[in-house]
Amino acid sequence: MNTKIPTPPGEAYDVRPPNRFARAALSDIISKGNVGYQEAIGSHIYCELRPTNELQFAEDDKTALAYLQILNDLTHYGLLAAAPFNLVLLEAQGNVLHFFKEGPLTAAHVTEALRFDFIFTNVVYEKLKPRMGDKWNGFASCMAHGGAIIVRHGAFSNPSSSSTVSLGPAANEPAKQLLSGIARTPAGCIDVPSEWASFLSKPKPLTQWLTIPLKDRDWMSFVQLHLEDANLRGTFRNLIDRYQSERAGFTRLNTLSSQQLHHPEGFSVNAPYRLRAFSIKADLDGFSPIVKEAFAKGRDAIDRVAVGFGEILEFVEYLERTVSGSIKLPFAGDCGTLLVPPDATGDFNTLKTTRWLETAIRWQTFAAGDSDSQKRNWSSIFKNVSWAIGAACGETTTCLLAPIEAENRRFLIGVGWPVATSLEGQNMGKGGEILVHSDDFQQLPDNVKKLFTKVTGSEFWKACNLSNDKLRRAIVEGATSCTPKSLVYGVAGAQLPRSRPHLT
Amino acid sequence: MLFGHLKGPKGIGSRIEKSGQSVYWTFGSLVLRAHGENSGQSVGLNLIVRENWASEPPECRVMADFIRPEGDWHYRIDGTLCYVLQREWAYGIDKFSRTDPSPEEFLRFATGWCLSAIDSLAVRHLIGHRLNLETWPTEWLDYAHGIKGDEQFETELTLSKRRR
Repeated sequence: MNTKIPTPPGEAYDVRPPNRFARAALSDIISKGNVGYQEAIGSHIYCELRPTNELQFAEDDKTALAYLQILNDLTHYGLLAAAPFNLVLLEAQGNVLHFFKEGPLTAAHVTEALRFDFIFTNVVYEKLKPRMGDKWNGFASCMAHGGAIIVRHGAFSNPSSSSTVSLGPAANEPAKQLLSGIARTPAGCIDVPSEWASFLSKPKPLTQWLTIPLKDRDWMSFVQLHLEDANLRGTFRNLIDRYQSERAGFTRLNTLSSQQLHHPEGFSVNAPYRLRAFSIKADLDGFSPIVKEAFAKGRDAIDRVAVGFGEILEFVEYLERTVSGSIKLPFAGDCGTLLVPPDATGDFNTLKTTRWLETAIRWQTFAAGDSDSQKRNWSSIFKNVSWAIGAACGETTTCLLAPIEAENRRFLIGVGWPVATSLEGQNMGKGGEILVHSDDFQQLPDNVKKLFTKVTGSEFWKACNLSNDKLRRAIVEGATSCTPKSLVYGVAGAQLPRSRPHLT
Repeated sequence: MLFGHLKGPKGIGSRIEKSGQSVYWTFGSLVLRAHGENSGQSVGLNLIVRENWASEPPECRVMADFIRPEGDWHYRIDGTLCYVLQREWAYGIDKFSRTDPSPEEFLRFATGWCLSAIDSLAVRHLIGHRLNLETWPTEWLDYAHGIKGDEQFETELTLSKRRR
């Protein structure tokens, strides 16, 4: 039963009955959209399309639309390649796809997963590389095997909830190897754990990862022996051709209200949604060791971590409901994203320059001070974890949102300069820090600027352990000076008297 | 000169009051810039200037949804703002006139003071709205009501003269 209750200011939101957040069958979580979690053993395969900054940090609608179309095709190619090998798509995070293949670690399991990746890599090089031209920077994958907690939370009709989140080292490590660090997976390759060398009749390297260059002639005999399958390749090519002839292009940009995003009839892949907003990305610091420890301790500990993470997802949904006009993008592992318009109406003429910062602080403090937060005891439940936050909006740039529809699911993805830049900031931050891009830092009131320090060698400014009290104090103190700036009203050469009102 | 600082749609005019006194009025919008405000926020402004403006500051009404119609926030029951103490205004204008300014400099000074004080008060209302402040912060100096405010001004003036 949905109940409408009045909320300030002039907003209304659904109050859902408490979710039964408990263990559920994996197939139900992934394809039926059931809320819950399950432990699952299998391989986690992350695939990353690497566009140039020009495409990823798209500053205009035309480029962002082209990028959305590429991501839409990437997701569909991935799904077509995954089906014959019993892989499922857990997350579509824009240019990063996360697939899962359930099963114990055997030579057959490894070969099947690699064959999927070989086919997928080839089609991406064949179809997307020429389209992207000089905006192409490669494509790579990384895979690991082990136990993980697969979690889904929120309504299935909500495109931002169609992704499932995986917690555990087997899901974290390949994502890290693929996406960050100086020795990250090279383009055209897949990294697998070096222990898998024996499955592949290769000597075990000393490094943590064994890199298989899927496009390298030196490895061609290996690829032909283990991965090539002419029949499958032919069938797959036919499927791709059919998909391409049937898919529609992005035709128009919508300016929908955020509530329409949750209703399929108002928002489709052919009509992306454009908005001017701060992208706030928050990564949960200190959670991975807790998950790792839970796996070592066993089922009860895993249940506690899964339920705890469910509560974290609940908290971010609460943030979305209480920050008017905001839109939550799907979690990527333990990283959440909220797009926050400057005010409830999205009108930049009444720009409230610190609204994003207040939201970031609420996020970091688990909305301490809110009555709901106190009731749920969020601050004390999560005292051992903290958020590293990156934020960006830009002076004129916009975010484009589109739901990629596949297998009866809708994966909401967001692209554009704010989304990409906030991720860059978040990756540089540690728990308790808020990093903001220089362009947006410049818009802050002078006294609030003083709470930030420049991050050397970057375009970001950083604040540590901010609280709403500190922010309020800075803003109030910033308006304490009584001495007006004479030049504002063209009074050169004479000091204007102080501005000091009197009580009536 | 006040009119020149306002953005359109705006107007200017004059009328004769029942007392026979000439009254000049102007309205328009003022972009807020005090205290580092840079959001482009503007307010509707309605100013009435009387012939005795050198001793009585222009009467000011500010139209914006964030203005708090409360005495503690320097808002009179008739909708005008107490953006400057009359005693301080008269003293300051008189003091400036003794520096022998040209008529244009004199007007520019009075206009600048009037608008910067209104701008400052409106920005503080805006901050109060943004931060949901319940009361006027003690950090923001103001004068007390009525005679007490005048006494406060005189005391502070005497002290500052002594310090010099």
